[in-house]
Amino acid sequence: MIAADIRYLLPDTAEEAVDAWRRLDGARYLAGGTEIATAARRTAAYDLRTVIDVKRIPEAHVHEIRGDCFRLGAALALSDVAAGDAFPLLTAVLRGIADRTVRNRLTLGGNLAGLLPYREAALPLLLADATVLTIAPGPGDAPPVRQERPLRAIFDKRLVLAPGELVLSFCVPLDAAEWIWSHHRRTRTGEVDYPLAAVALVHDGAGIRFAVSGVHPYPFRADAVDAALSKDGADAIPTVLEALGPLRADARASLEYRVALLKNMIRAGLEELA
Amino acid sequence: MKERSGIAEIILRVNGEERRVAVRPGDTLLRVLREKLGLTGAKCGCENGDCGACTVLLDGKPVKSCMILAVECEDVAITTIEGLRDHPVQRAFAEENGFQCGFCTPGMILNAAALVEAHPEHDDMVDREWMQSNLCRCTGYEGIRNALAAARKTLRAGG
Repeated sequence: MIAADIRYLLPDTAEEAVDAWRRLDGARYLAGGTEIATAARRTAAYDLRTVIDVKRIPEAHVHEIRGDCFRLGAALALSDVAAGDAFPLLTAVLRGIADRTVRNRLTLGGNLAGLLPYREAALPLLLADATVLTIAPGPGDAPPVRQERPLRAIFDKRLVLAPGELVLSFCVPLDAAEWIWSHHRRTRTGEVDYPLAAVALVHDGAGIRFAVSGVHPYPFRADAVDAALSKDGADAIPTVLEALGPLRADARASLEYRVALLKNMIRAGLEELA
Repeated sequence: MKERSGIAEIILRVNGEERRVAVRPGDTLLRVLREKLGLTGAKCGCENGDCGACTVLLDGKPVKSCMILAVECEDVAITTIEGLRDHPVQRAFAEENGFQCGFCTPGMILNAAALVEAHPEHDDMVDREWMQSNLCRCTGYEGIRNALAAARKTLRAGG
């Protein structure tokens, strides 16, 4: 059970949600709630006073083609995004996250903005150069501010958001759905587990793009790595490893194992793209 | 904007009936079903979203009720194992020995019922993807697999 006495709010608009966050100390946004419910149950040290349920905000539920992009609401459950199959690489990646019944609640925005470090849904979105629409409290009494920015501009190991800023949706360029892609994911135990390494590669017609999670406690993509893999293929693997720095070593896998795994995954991915 | 705090009275639509219940906003759906409504079919296993013993259907979709606040469920149809009456999956689990100790069975059956309705044709990959959400510590997976096949056969025959 969750010991904390909390206040629950269900706003109808993004503006109401942001306004509630500004008024109420220690408020958290809740969409799928999978992380909040488990963290609050586990320890009373998890500060939970007010939850603002964003599931009723229409903009956070869009799942449509707008202009030259797929617009995917941040409050969409991962299983609904996967069922829409707008971007095949995203579909493949989402099917590896948690298990099916969790994916029926866990949201796209929650996977990127949550505390768990893997954030695998970020891989295809980073590779596609997706943009992200947010709303944040305005300065002082000013109205809330909406911004559409490249995801890569506000993603540094995690989503870097201003206090009270709420992610509403992601915009994935339509042409990303046409790219050749590859996705490899390995876990220590069964398929439902955190990744030792999860690698996604695409060929956008001009070159290769590469992103990885699991080998560090955050997703990674770098232009220099993309350029090296585009130019030298598998010969650029040392460059990739150098850019990544020392990989994670823990009870799940040693550093050496992760290095070997990553090398194999990159080689396999490149072969699939060829 | 709807707000709930303190002890709030809410109406939940459970197994086709409206149930008025007083809850704390921090109460999970699992605890409310079991402790306020006497529906003990959904089990407290891990209470961490791993085991699937607490699975219920929200608007027909299987979810883990230990990870959901009851106040989030005011506008949805909740189905617990008590609301599933003589479903082909239930009969198939009994006939194919799809259970041993029975602790995981309510969650397994609800997930399986949603699965065979969404995917009437067998697809091993889809079955794996769905049923991985539920753990059976007795490891009686073969019987569960056979039960899925038997339930689909019954459904195809119009039963």
